[in-house]
Amino acid sequence: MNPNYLVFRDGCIVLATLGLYSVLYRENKVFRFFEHMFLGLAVGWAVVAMWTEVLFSTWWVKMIGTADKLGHHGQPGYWAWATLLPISFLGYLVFSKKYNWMSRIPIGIILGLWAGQQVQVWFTQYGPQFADSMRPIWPNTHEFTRPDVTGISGPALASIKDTVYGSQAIDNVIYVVTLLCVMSYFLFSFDVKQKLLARTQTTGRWLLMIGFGAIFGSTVMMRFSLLIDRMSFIFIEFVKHDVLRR
Amino acid sequence: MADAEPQVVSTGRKGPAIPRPLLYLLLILATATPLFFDNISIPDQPADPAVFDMYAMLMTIPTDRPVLVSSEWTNGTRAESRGAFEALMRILMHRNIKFVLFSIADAQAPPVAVEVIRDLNEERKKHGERPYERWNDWVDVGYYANGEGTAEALAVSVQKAFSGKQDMNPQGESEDVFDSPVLKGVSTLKDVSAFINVTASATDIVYIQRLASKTTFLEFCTGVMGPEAIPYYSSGQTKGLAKGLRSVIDLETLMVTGIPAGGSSRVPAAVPGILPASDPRSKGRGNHYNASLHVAIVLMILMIVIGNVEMYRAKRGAAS
Repeated sequence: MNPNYLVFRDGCIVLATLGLYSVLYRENKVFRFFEHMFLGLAVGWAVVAMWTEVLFSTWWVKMIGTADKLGHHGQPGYWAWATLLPISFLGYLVFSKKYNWMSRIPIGIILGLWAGQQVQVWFTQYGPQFADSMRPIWPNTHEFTRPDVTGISGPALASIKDTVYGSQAIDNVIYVVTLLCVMSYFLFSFDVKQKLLARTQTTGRWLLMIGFGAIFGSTVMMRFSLLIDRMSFIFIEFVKHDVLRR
Repeated sequence: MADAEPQVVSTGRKGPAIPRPLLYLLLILATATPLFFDNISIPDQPADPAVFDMYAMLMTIPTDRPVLVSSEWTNGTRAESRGAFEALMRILMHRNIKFVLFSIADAQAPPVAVEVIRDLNEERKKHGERPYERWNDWVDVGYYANGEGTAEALAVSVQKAFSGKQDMNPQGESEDVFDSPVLKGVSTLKDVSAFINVTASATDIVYIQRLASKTTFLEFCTGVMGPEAIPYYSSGQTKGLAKGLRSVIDLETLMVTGIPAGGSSRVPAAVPGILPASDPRSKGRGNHYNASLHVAIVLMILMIVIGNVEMYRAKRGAAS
């Protein structure tokens, strides 16, 4: 790639990055400009891609058919695909006061297709997790920790995997207690008089908050990663490689 | 909107305040400085079993069938996702595994992934290795707008889901992707080695719901998504999981050290590394950012300590 073009291209990206980061100082017009430019580019790209990547190959080509390399008939076209166009355009009648009821036809079709999948997808998503939640909480050996399995294979490894060690049992107890407490927090969301249940609920709330804390920690780390990557782009890829050519 | 005044971070009810722009400047300096020093190396000891399984699975999936790579990230999460995608591509290219690239999340995702493959090919040429050829080694079937429908279609028939899609052959002509060496003979998910999702959005759930039980499903997600993805790995729905930059660093380390026998819960045998430590490619994007990440975290901890000390002092001052 031409090095001068690279400087120009990456220079524009650096300018956009700095413009967007200027909001850290205060809300300003430069930030607004780059924000709108980004949105405009993304929408423009999406509109073109919707035709070139989606509608052309999955609808248009199937409707009109294709020819082979010699110009002879290849795949025949299926005119029935044409009926999708008026049906999908009915969706835009949502803006008409008189005919907006017609927009419910394509929405209903999409909802029907989606709803038809739900029983199966719900079970494939959560079924294996129900099974995984049934964990042994009682050790079946006197050893507390799992031995180092490095270099072990075959039946010896399988035997270690089947054994519930003391430390593993403690892990599983924490898991099962967390599961039950959090479930009781969500299931008994009314005013509970029974002391044990009330305490279980409180514990569930605390355990949830610990979980959210872990998620927040991951989020902070990801934000740091994003900043580091931008700094790497500005200082290493643009300044060092493109401008200084090192 | 009217221009607002710069914000300040209060460290206590009546204590001093640090201007927020100063904090940002400190953070920028702290994260940018280590990037200039290529020789800074933070020792890494991978400990996450999910990453061990990810590497072990990638190194043992059959090479005679292609893998489906759904690349669901763009430059917005380049920091984490590009490193993950590069690591994945290096392993697939090392093992000569053919792959199909597509996306259900974002129309910009396939071109971004293609750019990474182009950069990796340049790198391969520099190291005297053959470039991974479009059409012969991989094909791009592009973007699909309806994720749920596409996943459902893939679960039934790969051939029907990708029918009508074309890609460029080496002569520069568009041809049906099923005429390429990559997808020749592929009909259903049984004909592919694995389904790999590199994602920055909730597409993993769409695939887990519809097709993860029918093939080997592996997932590279961002750090934010990590905690939510763990239950699916734990239950075996996801056979290997890499979460954010931390996992990319671990994966790059495993690509050098390999895994001893018993190191992975899914693959009992030892798994070799693919790069010598002396190879510059062993210090990938994850390792390049590792020092900066550590400095940023130290800075954050320092600021939390200073903030708490100042708040405590302010409270004591107010009480007396």
